[in-house]
Amino acid sequence: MKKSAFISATFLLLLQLGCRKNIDLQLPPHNPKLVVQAFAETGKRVLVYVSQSQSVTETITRFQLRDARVEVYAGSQTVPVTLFFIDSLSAFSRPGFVLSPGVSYRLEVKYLGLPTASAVSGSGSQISLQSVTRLQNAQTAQDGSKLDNLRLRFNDPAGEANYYLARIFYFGNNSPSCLYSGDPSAVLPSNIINVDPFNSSNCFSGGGILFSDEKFNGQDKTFEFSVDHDVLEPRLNGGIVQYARVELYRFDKNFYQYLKTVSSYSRTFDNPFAEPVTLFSNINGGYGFFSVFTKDVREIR
Amino acid sequence: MRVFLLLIFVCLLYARVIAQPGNLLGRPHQVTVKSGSVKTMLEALDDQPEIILVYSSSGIDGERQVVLTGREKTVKEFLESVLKGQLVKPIEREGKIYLVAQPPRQRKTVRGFITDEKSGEKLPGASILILNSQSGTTSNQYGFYSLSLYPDTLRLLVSYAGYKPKMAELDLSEDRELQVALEPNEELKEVVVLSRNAQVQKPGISMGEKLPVSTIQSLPAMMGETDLMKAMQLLPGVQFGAEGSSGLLIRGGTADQTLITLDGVPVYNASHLFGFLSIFNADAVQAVTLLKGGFPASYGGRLSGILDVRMKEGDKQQWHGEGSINLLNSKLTLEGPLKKGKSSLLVSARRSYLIDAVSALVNLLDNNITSGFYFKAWFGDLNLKANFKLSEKDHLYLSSYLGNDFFENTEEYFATDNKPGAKTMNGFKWGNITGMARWNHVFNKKLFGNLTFNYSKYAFAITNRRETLDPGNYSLFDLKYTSSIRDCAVKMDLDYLPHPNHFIKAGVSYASHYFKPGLARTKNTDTSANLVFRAENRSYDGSEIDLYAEDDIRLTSRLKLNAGIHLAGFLLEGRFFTSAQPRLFMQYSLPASWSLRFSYAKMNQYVHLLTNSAIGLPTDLWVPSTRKVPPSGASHFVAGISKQHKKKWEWGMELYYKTLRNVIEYAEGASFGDAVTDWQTRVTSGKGWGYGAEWSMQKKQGKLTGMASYTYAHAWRKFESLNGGKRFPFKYDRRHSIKMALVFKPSKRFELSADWVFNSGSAISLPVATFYDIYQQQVVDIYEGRNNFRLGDYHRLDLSLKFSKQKKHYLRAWVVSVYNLYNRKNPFYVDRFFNTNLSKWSYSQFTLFPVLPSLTWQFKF
Repeated sequence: MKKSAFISATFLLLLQLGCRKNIDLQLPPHNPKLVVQAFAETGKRVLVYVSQSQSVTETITRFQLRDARVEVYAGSQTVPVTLFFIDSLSAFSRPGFVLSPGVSYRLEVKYLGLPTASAVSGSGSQISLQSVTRLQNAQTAQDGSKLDNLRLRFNDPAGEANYYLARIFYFGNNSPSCLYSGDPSAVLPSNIINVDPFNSSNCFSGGGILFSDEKFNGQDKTFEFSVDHDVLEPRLNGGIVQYARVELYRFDKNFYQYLKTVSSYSRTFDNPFAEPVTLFSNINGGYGFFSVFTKDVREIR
Repeated sequence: MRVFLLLIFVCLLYARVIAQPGNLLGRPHQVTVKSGSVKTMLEALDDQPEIILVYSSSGIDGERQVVLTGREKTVKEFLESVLKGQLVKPIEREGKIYLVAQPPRQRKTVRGFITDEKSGEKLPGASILILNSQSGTTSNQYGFYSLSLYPDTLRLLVSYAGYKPKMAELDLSEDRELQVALEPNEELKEVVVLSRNAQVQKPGISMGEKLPVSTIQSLPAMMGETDLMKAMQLLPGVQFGAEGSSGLLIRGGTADQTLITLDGVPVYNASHLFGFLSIFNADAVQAVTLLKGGFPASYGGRLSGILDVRMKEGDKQQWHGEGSINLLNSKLTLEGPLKKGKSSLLVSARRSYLIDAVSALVNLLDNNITSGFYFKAWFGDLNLKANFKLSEKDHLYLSSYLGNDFFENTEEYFATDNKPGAKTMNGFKWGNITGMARWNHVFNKKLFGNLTFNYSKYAFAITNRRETLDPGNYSLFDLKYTSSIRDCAVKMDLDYLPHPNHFIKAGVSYASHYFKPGLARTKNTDTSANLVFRAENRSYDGSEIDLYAEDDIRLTSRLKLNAGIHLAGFLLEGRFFTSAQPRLFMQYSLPASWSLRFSYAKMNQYVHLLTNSAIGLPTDLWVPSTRKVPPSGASHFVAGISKQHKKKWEWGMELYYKTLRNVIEYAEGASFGDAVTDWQTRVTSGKGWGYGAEWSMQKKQGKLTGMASYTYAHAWRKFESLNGGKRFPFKYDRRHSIKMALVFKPSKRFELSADWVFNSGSAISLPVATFYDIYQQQVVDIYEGRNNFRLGDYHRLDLSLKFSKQKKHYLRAWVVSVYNLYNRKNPFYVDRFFNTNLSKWSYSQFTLFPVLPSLTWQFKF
């Protein structure tokens, strides 16, 4: 019996000694590629951020590549506009060079030792908000606070697949923590971060709501959403009244897909159960995205 | 001259012989007219010299038209062809041929049950071979058999793996009942019938892989606890998921594509200990069958495989028991008669204690003045089965399974004044409940019926509670997340055995499914507020109806087939999904014990399991097919060849190709635990396909028995919204797989067994690069394809030594087993961490189980 007990105890001890072991995993070597990121508004100065991918085991050190050659081709033009690295912006740009609505652009980036990266994008026609209506204290939130409804009215051009992002900014360029919308076109928050799985409300966090024209292509659209009443109230800052503002972006499918994957990607943080997400990229030969958009802004008075 | 005379003598002798009045029927006959009426043919024969036909025209259908083959060489053959189908028989008497009327031949039936002689338990799938004709049948799932034959003196050979064959001879001049009780063969217990090709020996068609429970109990077991699911993983074409998990992934399918039934009742989560152990207690199991292709029509509901586990019925003759104690748990099984020979009861219970011991140790070591850590964990299960012989024709079976797993850890933080400060508790609980009532009835000598009511429920709950214990600053956060699935079903099956060449099965079933994919409730209380939030993924009530019919047909002595159809319908929210699933299995026996097989099966599945690709947990959610998430489907094509050598060795090869439709996966970024978002928006559906070849070899008799197999396989998936619409390998796409299992039993007192498994690495998604995203202002990973990386190869050797001894009142055995004998560091998962020594990020591959020795004490009385 003593013998059996001894054997049992020894086995139990052995069992406890080995629980899990670390083994280094050998990954195949990484071939770096260019990372090009440009979310360019029509009529505004173009900023193109260029860096390069690094091995997953490296600490990121190369935030910008200053010596890249960045060229933009408009429409069918064969002579490109070359952009230069501007230190103060940490991006490639060119004073006076702006993109126009309704034109397709091709961006090409070259860097010694790395494959050439290129992408094509173009905005639709210029967006214009026809009206912005505020309905004060139209709803009550779950915690009892009052919500205002905002109605954005605009025209969606026919024959184009357009995608929109509505955002709210208030004092100090802040974004509200929640926007609420029951509009069937609303698909995703602009930048979901830490979505609470147990939150029963339809809160779109990140200060924006993403929606597509799939259900209203070519029509006048009134997009309605709600936001905390206090967010939209004017504030005094140094004797100046500051009003909250609403921004409506229109862009192509590339950026829409990018935002969708960013949204999914953000949900995988620290979540061992989440599926891996591949960030959308429209850069041939590299990573990142290039998208041209138009925007309209209104103050909410 | 002598030769000439000899020839004359021979000719005269021949003429004398053929002129013998007693050999008229054997006389050569030249067929001149090949077609005509029976009457004409008989008259023509009657006109032949020396032939006198005597018959009554009223007893013969003279107008019937007959066509002769031209191969009729004698008068007898001529008459047999002309009178084919008529109830007359030619006989020769006194130089005349009489056409004598014959009484109509009627088939007589022999039927009964094949049972275990000692316990009275029914033996399903036993072989009943008619030695007179080398044909026969097999007993059905309840041990019933029936043979309808022309009256004769029959010689039957009844056999069943692990039992002594029994010969029976009976005069089948009338319907007979023959109950056959087979004696367990202790000496042959080591016979391993991994009978993928069992049909070579058996008269019926067998499509399943069967592992005798005695073999399963002989194989090395992790932590000393026999696990039949892990034993099934040793069969070719069957894979496991993560290291140590007991799920069955068949030919590139997922775990939920394998239907697991216990006494015919679906079991939705067959795992204890997060999948490291299956819920099946081997001591309570009578038989296990795994189907991975060539599905008979009676089975349905899943795409890739069926694991049919049958519990023991319980001994009707005497009470006895068995049990074991190992490092992980202990178990006890008792069975015996409630009324001798009429009814029996089986009770089998199991309870873990290693985890309790570890918890106590952790609690002892980990607690200190400022905090306390308390850990509680256990699992347990109970199997019950009762069976009652109501009459010679009626049996009633009742069975139930109850099992639970429970994990809870509590942390207490003390305030500086040594008063309780705060407490957090995390809990995890899951379990199955199944119940079954079955009535067997022998309607008549050829028809057997089976009415079953069953109930199955699987549920899990996660709890998280955070509480500050200071009365002046009290707050509570209480979260509970639950999910469940519940089935209630009724099923009627009929077995009809009209002829030894036909075994017809038909049935109908109705099942009500209730799905509750996810319910989250949070309670947030502090001194100023008391908020309760409730979020729920909506529940679903679904109804499923299934109809099937199949026939096991023996077309010729060499060609057999099983053909059938399974019709299924699923009603959910006014939408009725239907499917017709044809099934075909053909087997052609070649000389020298070679056998060819081919099968086709179409399968449908109306329930889906939402599972993450990281690990298999009981938190995986069962959901129904809906308008947005349509039912899944599969088509299987299998071709195989096998050979048996001296009934000891068997060799086989199978080629398979399988397609999958509408299989689901979590969309990118989605995971379980989201009770707000509709689960239908978190999944995406696509297609899959797999193909491969499996070679296997078995030695079934002798002191050394075992099997070895090699599988070459591909398994792919393609989803429009995943991986850029490009195909990607299934997570457990393992290209090469080698498996070996050996049992060596030189004496009754000693047994040595070993198994070795090799699998090439499974697929995993790892980022290939990173960059700094200027807009998100963070470093992001780049994945170039789902499941783009391969983990290291998996291989493992297990060994077991068993020392048995018959004591005065009981049989005891010590079993020493070692899991992963050479301590192979097999991959479990991969994690990334910042290596401060190298100042860079590194990946590590984690191994779960190193060498795991264990000791088990078994007893049987």
